[in-house]
Amino acid sequence: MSLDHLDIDLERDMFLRTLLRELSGALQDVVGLEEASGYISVVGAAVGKALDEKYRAALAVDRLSAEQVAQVLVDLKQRIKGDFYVAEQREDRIVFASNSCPFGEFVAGRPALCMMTSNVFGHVTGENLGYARVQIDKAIARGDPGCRVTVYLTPNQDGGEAREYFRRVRPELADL
Amino acid sequence: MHPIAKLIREPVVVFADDGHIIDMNRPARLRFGESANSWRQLFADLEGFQNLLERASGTSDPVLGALRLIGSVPSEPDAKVEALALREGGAIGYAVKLRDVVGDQFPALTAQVRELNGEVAVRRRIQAELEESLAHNKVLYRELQHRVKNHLQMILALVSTAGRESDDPGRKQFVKMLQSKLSALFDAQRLMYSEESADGLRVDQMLSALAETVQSLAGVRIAIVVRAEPVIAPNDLAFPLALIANELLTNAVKYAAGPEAAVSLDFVRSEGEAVLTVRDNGPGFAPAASGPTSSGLGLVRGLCRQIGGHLAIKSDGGAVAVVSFPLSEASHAAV
Repeated sequence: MSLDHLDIDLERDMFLRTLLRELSGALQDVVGLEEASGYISVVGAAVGKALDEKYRAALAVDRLSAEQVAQVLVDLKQRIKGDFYVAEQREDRIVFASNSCPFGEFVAGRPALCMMTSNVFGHVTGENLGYARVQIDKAIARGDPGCRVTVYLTPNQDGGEAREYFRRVRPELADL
Repeated sequence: MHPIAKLIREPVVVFADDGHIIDMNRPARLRFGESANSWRQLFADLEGFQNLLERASGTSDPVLGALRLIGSVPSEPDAKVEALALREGGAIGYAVKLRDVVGDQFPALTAQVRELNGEVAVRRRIQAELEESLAHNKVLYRELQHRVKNHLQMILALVSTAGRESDDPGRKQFVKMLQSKLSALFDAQRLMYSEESADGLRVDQMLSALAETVQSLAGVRIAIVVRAEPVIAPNDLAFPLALIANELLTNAVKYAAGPEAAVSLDFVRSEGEAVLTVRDNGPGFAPAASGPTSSGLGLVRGLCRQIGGHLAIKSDGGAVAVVSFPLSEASHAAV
């Protein structure tokens, strides 16, 4: 008997977002928010690295300019239904805003998932411009009505709690 | 290292960008040794370590990872680590912290515990082997007892046949005497085989069995009253005791024979000693016993010496034979 007619809110995207919500929830419950954020940062950095390589290859450039970085970050968010836009752009910062999260309602109560945004934005900016400091000013995951993310482009002595990102270097280890 | 590192209980190692060790906190020195000067002395995986440092170089916060430690056994999981890039001017270094290894601030104790655990495992294996060997030996021992019992039974049958086939009264009497002694041994052996414990057998059961055998061999109807405490005697005591009781009972039955013949056997124990008393209502012992009886008493005396005991005989409304002997710690009351 086919069950196609049943009104069940389930398809691949829904299933994956549910899976992600439950995984991040389990992580927060088991190791705490701070350490869960650390684990999700590892994932975010890997995703950021992969996306950065894709965009640079697609744009056929070695490094993105600050303008391109802002465009890329908005584009990638919009492609995953994040509805981000540049709210403000200055020499030393780019401010992004959004009224919807790519994870949808599944992000509520999962602030550790914000480390995905922080790491992707930070990695792409740091790799191309050499430095980024990402500050999550507002987050739907924390109960705010929308998200507001500021990416600072220059180091500041008073960096606060914001996470900094740099261009990666692969160490040449001496085989002692 | 910055003094604040003293607050960190986990091992922390500071590397230069080429993998040389620049500094270690105290837990790290205890863990890896004072002389460690390269990543090679800590981690087994070059690429994993490079990837970790590369990831750390991209951010200001510590990054999590897992690395294989040098000397870890295959069953051990990789060590959880955190790496932090340290920037000063244009130079970069890395601090790597081993996580969840607070217990290793006592590496000597940990090593000792590991060693003890290994020793316990070895001893457990040896114990299991010994237990298996013991079980096997018990099986062999029971098999041996079973064969001895069967052989005694066969000898008894042969002796009985020889007695039946002879017309010579002297020979018949000799066979009967031999049969009686062999029966005593057989009773003891039978009980030993049936006992669960390989250490000894129940004296009360053995004496009751002996009394029945003596009764049946005597060929006359005579009551033998047995009053014996339930004591388990070791095998090296049980066999001489069986022969002693058999000898004394045979004598008692022989001399108590009559219309109101009565024989009693008592076995009591007190601290460190047991007393076997056989009494009949016959004429009592002659002042200087001779003949087969005295020969039987001679055997009893010899067996008494064997078990460190003493035989006393007297006449008190009949013959009374009292055998007292030490009862070792191995003997105990049956539950």
